[in-house]
Amino acid sequence: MSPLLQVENLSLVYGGDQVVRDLSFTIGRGESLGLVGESGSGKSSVANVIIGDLPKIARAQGRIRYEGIDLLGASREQLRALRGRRIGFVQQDPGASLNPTMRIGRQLAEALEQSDTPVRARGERAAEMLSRVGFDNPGAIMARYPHQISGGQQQRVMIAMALLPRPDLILLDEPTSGLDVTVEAAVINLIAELRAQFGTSLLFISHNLNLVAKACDRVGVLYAGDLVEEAPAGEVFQNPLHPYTQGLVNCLPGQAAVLRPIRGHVPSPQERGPGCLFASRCAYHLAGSCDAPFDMTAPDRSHRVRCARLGDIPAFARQTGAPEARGLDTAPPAVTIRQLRKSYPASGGDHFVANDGIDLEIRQGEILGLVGESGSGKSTLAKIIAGFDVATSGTIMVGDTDIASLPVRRRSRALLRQVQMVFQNPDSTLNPTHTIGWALGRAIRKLETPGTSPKTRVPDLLGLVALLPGLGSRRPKALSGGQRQRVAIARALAGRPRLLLADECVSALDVSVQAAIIELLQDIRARTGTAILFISHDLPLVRQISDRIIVLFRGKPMEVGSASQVYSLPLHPYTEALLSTGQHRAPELEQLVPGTARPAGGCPYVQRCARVVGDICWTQAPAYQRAASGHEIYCHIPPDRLLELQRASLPAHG
Amino acid sequence: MLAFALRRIVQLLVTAIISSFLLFVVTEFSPGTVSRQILGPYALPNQVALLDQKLGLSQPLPQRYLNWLSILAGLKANPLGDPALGLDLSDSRGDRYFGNFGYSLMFKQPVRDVLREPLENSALLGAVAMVLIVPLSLFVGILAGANAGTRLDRVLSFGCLIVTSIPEYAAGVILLTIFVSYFNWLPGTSPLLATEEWSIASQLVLPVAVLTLATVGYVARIVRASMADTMTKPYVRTALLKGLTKRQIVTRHVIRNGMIPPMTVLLLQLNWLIGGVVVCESIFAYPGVGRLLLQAGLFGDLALVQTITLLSLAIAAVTQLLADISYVALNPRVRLT
Repeated sequence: MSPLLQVENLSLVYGGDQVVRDLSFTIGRGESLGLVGESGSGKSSVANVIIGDLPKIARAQGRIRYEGIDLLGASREQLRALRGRRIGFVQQDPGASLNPTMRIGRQLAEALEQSDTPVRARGERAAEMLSRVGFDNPGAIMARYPHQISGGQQQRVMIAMALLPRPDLILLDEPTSGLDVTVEAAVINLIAELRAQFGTSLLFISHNLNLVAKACDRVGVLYAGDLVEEAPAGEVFQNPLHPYTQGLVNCLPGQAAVLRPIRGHVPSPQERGPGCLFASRCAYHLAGSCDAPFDMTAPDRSHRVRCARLGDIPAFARQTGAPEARGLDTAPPAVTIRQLRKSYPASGGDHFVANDGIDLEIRQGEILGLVGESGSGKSTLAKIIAGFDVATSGTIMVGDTDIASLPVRRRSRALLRQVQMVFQNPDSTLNPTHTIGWALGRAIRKLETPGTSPKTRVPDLLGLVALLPGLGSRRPKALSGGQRQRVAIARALAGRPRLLLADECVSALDVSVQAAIIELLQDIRARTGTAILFISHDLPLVRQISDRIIVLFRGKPMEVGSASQVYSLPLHPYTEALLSTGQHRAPELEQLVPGTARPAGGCPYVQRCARVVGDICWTQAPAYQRAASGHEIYCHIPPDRLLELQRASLPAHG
Repeated sequence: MLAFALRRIVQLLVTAIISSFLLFVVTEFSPGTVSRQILGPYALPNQVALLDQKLGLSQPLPQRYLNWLSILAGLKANPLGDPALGLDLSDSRGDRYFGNFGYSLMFKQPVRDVLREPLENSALLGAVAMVLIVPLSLFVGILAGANAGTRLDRVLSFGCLIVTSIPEYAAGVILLTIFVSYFNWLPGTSPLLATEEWSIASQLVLPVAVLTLATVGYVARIVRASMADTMTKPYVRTALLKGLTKRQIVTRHVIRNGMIPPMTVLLLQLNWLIGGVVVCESIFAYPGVGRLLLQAGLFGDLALVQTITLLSLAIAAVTQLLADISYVALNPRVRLT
């Protein structure tokens, strides 16, 4: 039987730039293939060329056959007839992918327009599909506008929309980017479940190797437009053969004790030669054999690799073990936070509490990981410490000064020097009209103690973040994303801060670059002794870098402890749910727009908690319980009992 | 929605009061007083001062503003209408009624009587122009925006750019040269008096054409930009990936979203069309408010200038209210906030 989708020797050129080179793969009926790659690997272009929606400058060569139809040669009408009906598509960013001015029911019904379903039955079919993707009240959802439901719900609506005409193939382009961890896990589970039910084939495109491996039978790894390796999902982690795949697995947080970043950068389309594109970053590069064109080889039936020196690449050896954390229990606090509270006025005279009675010490020289889903108040905390916002009540002591209600404009220079921040997106935090040296020089003049000359300090700082001094004369545009983030870190370090706030500072970067920045932050902590508050939604990443971890939910710390305590022995039901997101469907998705309803007086987590013990959870705020030295949870249930409950429910998750 | 509309109306009233005060201050500080105007350039200063006293013009500014408002609201009689002054000004509606804008010194008549006909004429001109402008600019803008980057878009955009860059007076003169001097198809002036040769409708053609030309290009370009931007939105791609046709995508997903930003601009044009088409009305000697405003300004007819400006302000405020309400109606995301 011929495969459902067959891509043969596909090449894609945008203007003069090669985006995809000689790509071949097949997807059989009911099969799922994942394509992983970093930015610039051409993964989204592959989905776009299959669906026939490319920019005008794009030129495609090769063959794409879908059930015998040549997609590259198909007319516009032929393609339109395939879209939706035969090939579904789920885009990234569900919030933007739904028409904001049209009710959901109508948008769903539109998906059936090309099918034979009679008009009257469309609403019913849509409602039925909504209940299959996990909505209890399809009628109510269909009457809503997209902004009235949460991000996870929006993506489930998009999936329902793609499934409605019962297509044979669904293309998913980063379907979970921008979603919270718990929501992401639920969406992935939903996709797997529905695939089993409908027998739909999938092409799953993502930058996240973990996700792709979880959702797909086979995984293809793209690098700079080349398919460098294709293997069954498990093999990619257990036995990666291509040096790039090996490097990628080593970069993944949670896979090994120490992250090992891939040096160098992805070659830009102008730098790409005829041979192996990974050559410039490959440790096994051999001038003669790697620089000429070569084909993929298949070490066994299900495994294909594009490497000229495959025989010489050593087998992948994983460094197992937990990341090393430093115990800094005795270190004096760099910043002490007491009863910090921040509330914003909400509609109806109500208050939205972003931070609720936070007690916290950030010790000198430690990396404190702050995790929580979006809306948990982690960025609010960082903003208040940095002085972009002021607390409603409570104190933040830096030395002898309370900075909780001291906005950044009113902070003295000495105080500014002590707390510095690295932002999420380095592209927008560096002024594009000034050179790197100028930007750093100004930070030095503003923050440095008098007497130091920017001339000598700029190269020092660049060296500290492992950049060449020559970069000082360049402008941000000439730097890669990772280099720009290094500059942003160097800027923050100019005043030798006591505390560095890193708010999602690697989430805009590719995995290999991300690993390098994590390594850099750990190195800087070791060399300068600055404390780092590392804020992220990425749990394995936080585990990788942090000494201590604090889990925030609706502005309240749910669990605080050392990294190993929190991750190997999560006690609080919320932490447990966060860490086990891969195993079972998170029940919290059923609730509506998060953050609106809040039980008065009770535990903030009670609505989503799987371990509610009774009315006490709803009516009485719990107290912090000490589970071990430095390990505290905010729960009514004693730690021992929680452990018992966890053990009892274990088989249910299978 | 109702609460939103009510809040906006209260805001509108506050705006009206503040802007009317500013307007009053600006016109009161213009050179020459009403008394000097009445008595002529050769009157003695003490005569002027005496009349100032009688008219209440020597009172402090806030008091004068209050007097003006009281006259406007019909609480007070206008001192100018006092027969003892011998100015021969009288009002058939009596001396106290709501909406008393005072007397026009230029016409020696109540402002209301002076304004009635020009206002109707201007409304007629504006309405006819708007009836053409709205569909035409939407059609051109949507057509160009939905096909952004194609040759059709480039031709339409370029045409709009040319039309926008021709000022009203130039467009007027060009049209006059072609259709009046050369072809003699249309009348050169539009006094709105039907003659044997030219009907009223034929007199409207050229003024409407000038206004339409001046506005369509501009509005169409804004509509185009908004449409083109909406075409690149992910939800438009969703519609494409559902297998909808281009026409279905544009009519269902693009137009409503793309119309949200241009709505305000379109309603601002309405405001301009009714209140201030001075140039166009002057070229064609069209007996409308714009031309009247020009005459009143040159003569120094304070009451008339104040009234016309106040009316423009009121129209501006109301059209903006309409724009806000239509914005809410078009965009479900701002509902109930």
